[in-house]
Amino acid sequence: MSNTSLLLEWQQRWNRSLFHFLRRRVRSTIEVQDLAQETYLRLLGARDLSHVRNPQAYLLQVASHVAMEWCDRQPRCDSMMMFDDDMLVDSRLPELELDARLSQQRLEETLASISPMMRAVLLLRLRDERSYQEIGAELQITHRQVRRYLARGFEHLRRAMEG
Amino acid sequence: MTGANADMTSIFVQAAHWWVVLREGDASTRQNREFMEWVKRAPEHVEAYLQFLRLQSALARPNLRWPAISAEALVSKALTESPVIPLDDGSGGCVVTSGDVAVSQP
Repeated sequence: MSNTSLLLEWQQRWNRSLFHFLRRRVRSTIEVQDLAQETYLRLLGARDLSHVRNPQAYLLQVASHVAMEWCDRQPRCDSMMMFDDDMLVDSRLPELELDARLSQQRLEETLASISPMMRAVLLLRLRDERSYQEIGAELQITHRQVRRYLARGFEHLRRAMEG
Repeated sequence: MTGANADMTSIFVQAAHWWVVLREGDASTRQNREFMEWVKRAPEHVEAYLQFLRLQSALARPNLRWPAISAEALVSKALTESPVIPLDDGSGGCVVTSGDVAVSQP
């Protein structure tokens, strides 16, 4: 069975458990939805889920990793985060291959090479964590343009990461 | 840019665009469902989104430093130097207009 079919089955059976698990770790519903989605996506990218002995534990273990990474990105995160050891029956993680590096030099070269508008959007969002509305107002561009500059900016950063 | 690279760029930009839309804080259930449908539509979409997550992971590394230029200087430079921005994606360039990202708009 493919990962996608398996995952749909897992989702039907344990989606409620996953949301319950994540709700105990983050406060907002939107973040719970984001993290659940990211958990499923990571599992979709795993090499082979058919050998997982305890799918529910596995699902929650990956969700734990996703939630911990999310927590690391938050300026304040005091609601986190203890593993539920009793859930971690299956200790093998799928091969997620998320380890990636972007050198300081490549980041700086890329930011220097893009347009001032795209650079401003990227830095105001990723460094200063301004909202899209604030960025649009500052730069006198529409909300949609902010999103497009950001998505295109990520593409430049991807090439920098791979270059 | 070869055709395959151009396709990859386009799919990656779509993946990035979905992330941007879904992180806005007011993403609807419909948008979340559409995103999942987009992901499931092709293995390339899954790969592009995972690639996007790898980029996020790389950008989140604590030893990576963003340039120290102030927000005011960034805005000022953007307003004076780029009223309309050519976006070079390697396919001959394009301009930011309402149709430059080929994804379904939420």
